[in-house]
Amino acid sequence: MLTILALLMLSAIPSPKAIDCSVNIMTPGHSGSGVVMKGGYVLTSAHVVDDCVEDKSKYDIVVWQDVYKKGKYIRRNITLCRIVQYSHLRLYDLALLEPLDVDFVKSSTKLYVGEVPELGTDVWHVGNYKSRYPGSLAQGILSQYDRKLPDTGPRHDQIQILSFSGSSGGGVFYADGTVAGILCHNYVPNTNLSFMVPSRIIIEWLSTTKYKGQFE
Amino acid sequence: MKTLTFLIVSLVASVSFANDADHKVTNALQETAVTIKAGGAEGSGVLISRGDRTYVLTAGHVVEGCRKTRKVIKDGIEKTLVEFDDITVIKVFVEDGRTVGKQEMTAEVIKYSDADNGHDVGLLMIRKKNFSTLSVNFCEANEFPALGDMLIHVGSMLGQSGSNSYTQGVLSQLGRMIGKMEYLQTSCTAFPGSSGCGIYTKSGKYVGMLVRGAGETFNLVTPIQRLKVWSEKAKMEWLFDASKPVPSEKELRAAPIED
Repeated sequence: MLTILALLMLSAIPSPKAIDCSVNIMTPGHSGSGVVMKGGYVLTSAHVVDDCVEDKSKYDIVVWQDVYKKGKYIRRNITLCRIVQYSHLRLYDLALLEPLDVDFVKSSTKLYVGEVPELGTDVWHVGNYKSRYPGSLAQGILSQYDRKLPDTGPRHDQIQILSFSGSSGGGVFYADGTVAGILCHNYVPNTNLSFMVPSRIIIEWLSTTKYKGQFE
Repeated sequence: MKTLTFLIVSLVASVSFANDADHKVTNALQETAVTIKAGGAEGSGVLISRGDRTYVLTAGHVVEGCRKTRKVIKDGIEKTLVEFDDITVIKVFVEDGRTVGKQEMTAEVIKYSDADNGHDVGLLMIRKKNFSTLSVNFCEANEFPALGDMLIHVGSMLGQSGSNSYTQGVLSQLGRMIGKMEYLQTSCTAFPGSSGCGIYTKSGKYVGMLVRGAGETFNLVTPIQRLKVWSEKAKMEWLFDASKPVPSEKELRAAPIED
């Protein structure tokens, strides 16, 4: 009972999953962020890996996670990945990567599948800020639904959360650690005006692939 | 053990009640927020319904591009008439995470106070009667937030494309002076297009109108107290006090449009 009480009181604190399943991505031309899902698959934005899309058989995407213990850096978990599903920026702007080492990160998370949350709901983002500060955690709120942005395909949800170049592809999480969306657009760079492809749109995209239902 | 169970049940109940209350506040703020298109400018506003008329309170500088002057001679004396082009007011409807439609209405400016020498206020009247029955709830003196209290912004960040953006921040400071005008400072995220929008307490009470910014989380708000002073001088107390009688449209139009 004390545990339940503590959980209720701590509901405004993100699940450690938000940190544990967030990774950083580097391709020959870009860098960004991603989220580890069941089976070690990494969910990210298509535009983060679009320079690797021509030859999907090649494991030429570097994915890593820095691990800290008691405030101290202790090691880097790292693997190579290849693209197994890709939807261009003008469609869903999503990509699914398969790691060479499926156990490179022990933790994984799921997509949020419940009702559309209220505006003002707390969210957290973990991203590779400016491609120099990997694993940066930020807190914000759900700001508005269903935004159509220029030159992009999916309908985005707007979030009030700080993001930078390098945040793209990173997870946006609810307090229980489920994926609210994939941060994909910093419309006005380096500000709190950010956008994500929400989980309901990610589920719609995955439903057209062999990964349907796998990450829910 | 019984005490602990009681505590847990009370906590769960209070969390559930709080969520329900938050839901109602969020919905109410969304329903009373509109986007304003005035010539080339875009801004935000809030609905105030009185009788069969719906008014929109916004910032003066949002509508100033539609201001025109005309010289006329009346009784042999040359006078300058101030007129405004019609303004477009847009209300967007969102359900279950999806934009499901919008209404565009034409409105006329019935009161204007300029940004440089006045209070930077514009009051519009939607030409269609019975457009809405909704009004924002104004904050009373005893409900006024303290420094550090959470505030909510609902405005059209970057214009119509960012309509009804819901952001949060805190009351950063009171009594910021620019010239003789006093402002509140808030850390609510805002962008151009937010001008004229409402800033609210956590319980949804209108604290003031966002009018200026010096960075996305450094924004200045005309406090409700100053808006009330302006309304009293303009003999428009009915705007912030629903118990006061609203003048007829003929009387409203006969009154000077500018301070």
